[in-house]
Amino acid sequence: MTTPRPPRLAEALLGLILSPHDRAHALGDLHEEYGSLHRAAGRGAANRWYWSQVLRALGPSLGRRLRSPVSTLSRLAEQSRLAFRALRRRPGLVVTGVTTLALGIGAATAIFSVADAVLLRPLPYPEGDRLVTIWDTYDDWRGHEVLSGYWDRIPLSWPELIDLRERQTSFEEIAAYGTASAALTGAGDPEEVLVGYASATLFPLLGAPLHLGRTFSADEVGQGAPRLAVLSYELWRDRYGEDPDLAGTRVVLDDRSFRVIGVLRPGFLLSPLGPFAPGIGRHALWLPIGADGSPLERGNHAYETLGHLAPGVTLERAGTEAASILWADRDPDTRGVRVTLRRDEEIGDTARPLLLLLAAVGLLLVIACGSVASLLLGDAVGRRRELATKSALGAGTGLLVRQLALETAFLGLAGAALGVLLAHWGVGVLLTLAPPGLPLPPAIPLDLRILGFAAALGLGAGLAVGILPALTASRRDLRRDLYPRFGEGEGGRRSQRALIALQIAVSLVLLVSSALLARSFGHLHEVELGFDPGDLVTARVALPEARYGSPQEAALFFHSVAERLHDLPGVEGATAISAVPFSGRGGSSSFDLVDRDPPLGAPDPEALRRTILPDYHSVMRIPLVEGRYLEPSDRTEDAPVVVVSESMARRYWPDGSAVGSRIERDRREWEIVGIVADVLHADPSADALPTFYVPLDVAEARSTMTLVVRSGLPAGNVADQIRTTVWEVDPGLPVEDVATADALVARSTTEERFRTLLVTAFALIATLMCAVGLFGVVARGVSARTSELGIRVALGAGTSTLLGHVLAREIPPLVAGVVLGVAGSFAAGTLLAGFLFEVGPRDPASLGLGVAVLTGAALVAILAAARRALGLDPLRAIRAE
Amino acid sequence: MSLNETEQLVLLALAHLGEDAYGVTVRQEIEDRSRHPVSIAAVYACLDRLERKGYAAARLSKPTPERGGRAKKHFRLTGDGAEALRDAREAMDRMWAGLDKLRDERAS
Repeated sequence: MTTPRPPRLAEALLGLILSPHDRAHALGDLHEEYGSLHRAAGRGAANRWYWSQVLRALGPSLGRRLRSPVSTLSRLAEQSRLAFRALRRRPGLVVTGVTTLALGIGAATAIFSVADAVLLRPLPYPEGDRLVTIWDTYDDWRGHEVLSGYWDRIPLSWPELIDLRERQTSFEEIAAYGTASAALTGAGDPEEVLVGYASATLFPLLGAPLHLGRTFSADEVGQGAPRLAVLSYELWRDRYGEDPDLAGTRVVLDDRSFRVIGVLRPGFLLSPLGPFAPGIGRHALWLPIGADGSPLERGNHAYETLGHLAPGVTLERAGTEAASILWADRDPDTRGVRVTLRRDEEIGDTARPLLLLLAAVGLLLVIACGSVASLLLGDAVGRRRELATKSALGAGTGLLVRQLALETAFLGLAGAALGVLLAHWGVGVLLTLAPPGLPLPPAIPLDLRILGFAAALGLGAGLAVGILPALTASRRDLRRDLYPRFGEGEGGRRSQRALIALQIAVSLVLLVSSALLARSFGHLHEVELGFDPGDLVTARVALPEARYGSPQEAALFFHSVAERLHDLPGVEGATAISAVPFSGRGGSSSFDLVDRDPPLGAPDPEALRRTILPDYHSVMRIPLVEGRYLEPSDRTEDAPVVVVSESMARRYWPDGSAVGSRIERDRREWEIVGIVADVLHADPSADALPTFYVPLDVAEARSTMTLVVRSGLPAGNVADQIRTTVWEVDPGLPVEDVATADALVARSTTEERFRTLLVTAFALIATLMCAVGLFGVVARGVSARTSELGIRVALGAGTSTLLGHVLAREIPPLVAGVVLGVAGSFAAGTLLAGFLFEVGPRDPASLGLGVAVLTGAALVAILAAARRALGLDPLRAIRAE
Repeated sequence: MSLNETEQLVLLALAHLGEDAYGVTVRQEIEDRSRHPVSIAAVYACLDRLERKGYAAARLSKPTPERGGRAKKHFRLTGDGAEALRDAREAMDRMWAGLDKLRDERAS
């Protein structure tokens, strides 16, 4: 009978685990016992027992290996102990090194994580890389004052989309959507919802984000589209309590009834910017293109068009083909098609700020690495003797390298661990500091890429510098290291000073950059807006067409609400405008000059058009420049009149004859009765755009107006007054976007504010790191010179002489760093020029501020370290050697 | 040098087993008498230590087929080992002296 054999794998593993010393006997014992157990209890039980012996052998055997003097692991453990001991003897180095690394890693990770989450949002759609946007282009709009921003980003019309989809070969699929808003009534308070008009292909193109039911089929879109609706998940959840039977029922939108056929997945949000801007969180509802008055005529460029490029097709080729289909036989000279990557559209404006932040992160890490490197370098100089002793006692280069590497690794690990904590905490702080207007995700995870990168860089720099002395220790003249004289080790000090100069330079660049941005931001707030935003509360009301079909009804509604508001206690004035400044709304109109040629070579006249109640300018406190304001007696149907802005008057009637002149639009001639001061409408850093104001009345009716109330009462009370008043007139109307004018203006600069905040955070941390590094280096420098300074004290050197000796060494790198930093700041200012408003890239005030803060911090660090030298006891100092 | 608990258990097992002491029997003796499970690796780690301290001595016997053709390593208690065991016992006895009540509580 053959003896039963234990599982081979288990036996092989045990062979590896057991020490060679008793491997054979132990395996023999186990083999024997396995045999007995096999006979007594069967193969299964024997196998289980054998494997349990393998697992239980792990602990004792590994432990023994660690303790065995020949094993590598034990050497590592031994050296780790040595490294710990070595570090414990130098608390100063440990504290400054770990703090610097933690600050660098933590700040870089936190700031980058937030910037990444806020500014660089990835496209949450399948094959987002191939997703493109298709735009019409119109050369005539290039260089146009108002429209130049749109000349190459004109949405398509529905017939264009159909032509393109039928004849093109460059795209796998094409889809389109348009956006609007409407009042949703029934089941709760009236609410304004975003309305998306979708082609049948939109949802499949974006990954069929369905939660319930279905989306539109091809024959439900276009001419004669039925009244169907697909709800966003958020709307379904908040308004309908996740009613699973909602599909098939009807919802009322602008007083018309739509049949619900589906609910989209959570997170598929629609914003005024399209379905790609998540986080705005408004309730949305999708209708088929063609339903309920969404435009289908060729001239109405209402739909943003998306596509998936076919494999191998370039953006240029797709654009050329689309242009030949749409414009070849109509207007090939000035019309064209441009195809852009959707991701570029999304990132577009934020790419530069992001690059700026990446540059700042890079600089911060340079400082952190430089700091750690100079600390270790200073440390190494002081340890020559120790290393020389070890080397003399027979320690090889390998051993010394390993020991120093271990010490650095411990520093690095501690720094990284603390850095993660700091980063975690820092993200929270940044989020609370972030302005409310930013679309922030609810939670921001730490960016592990940048965390790893920062930690690796810090550790790498530390290791590179940390092991240098070990590499040279065995090659040097040991006697010199063992018995150093004064002034020895100046080589290391020189590289250390160079590193300090570099850190100071980089910190200065960051400080000056943040000063530039902060001053620029300050200027944005001092801009003359053209109106007085204090004590103004605004609220938008959109009238459903179904109930307010005639212009009379709409005009009557707003006039009567404004009058009621005007009579309320505390209200100084109440009016309305089609789009209030800084609301991000409102459009422009083209017009013709009557009895006058437009300026030579200029594009067709175009200006912002605002429809207002007559007392708008007085309520907003927009000064009258010439002529008169609009008056209640102005009637468009009898004698159309307008008021124009100063910039419009100057542009088209440079001879000052604007008042009394006429413009033609909508086949009417309008007489200019007044000129008012310019008002900024959107961007405080841009010039005011030419604007004309027309009265809201029968001939110039708008269904959406923003009420503006000036009142000394608290904004919340005023908002309540507005809601109550609107609902007194019509209880079925949503009152949206209630905000103070101050908040609207502040919102327009949120990005600038956040950018300034982030860069300032960088700069302060950089300065702090610089100071900590400087303190550490100077302190070590002073303690390395203990005996020298002690002898000076013994020979009668006074406090000021001693301080002078210390400063004389530390000031030159400081000066060099500042000079280098000023040069770097000029370069950085040039890069920043695009972000600056009324601040020159070489703004002396910013430069001065940066230099002052940095030199101040550096001097404090140097003096704090030098104080040690001053309290020196000469006897103890000399004995130190 | 004092003995830890495992070392005492292993040395006592050697004393019980006499000529028959080797890895398998030592392990089983400990498990049978102390009712504490112990792994072969732990036993060998301990025997190795005891051998270096001079408390146990080892000799190798011929390989046998039921051991997969591997030799058997026999252990025996040395005089020093017996002395160390006695010391350990006396130390414990001194500690227990006067604590009869504590010792008997379990039985009652």
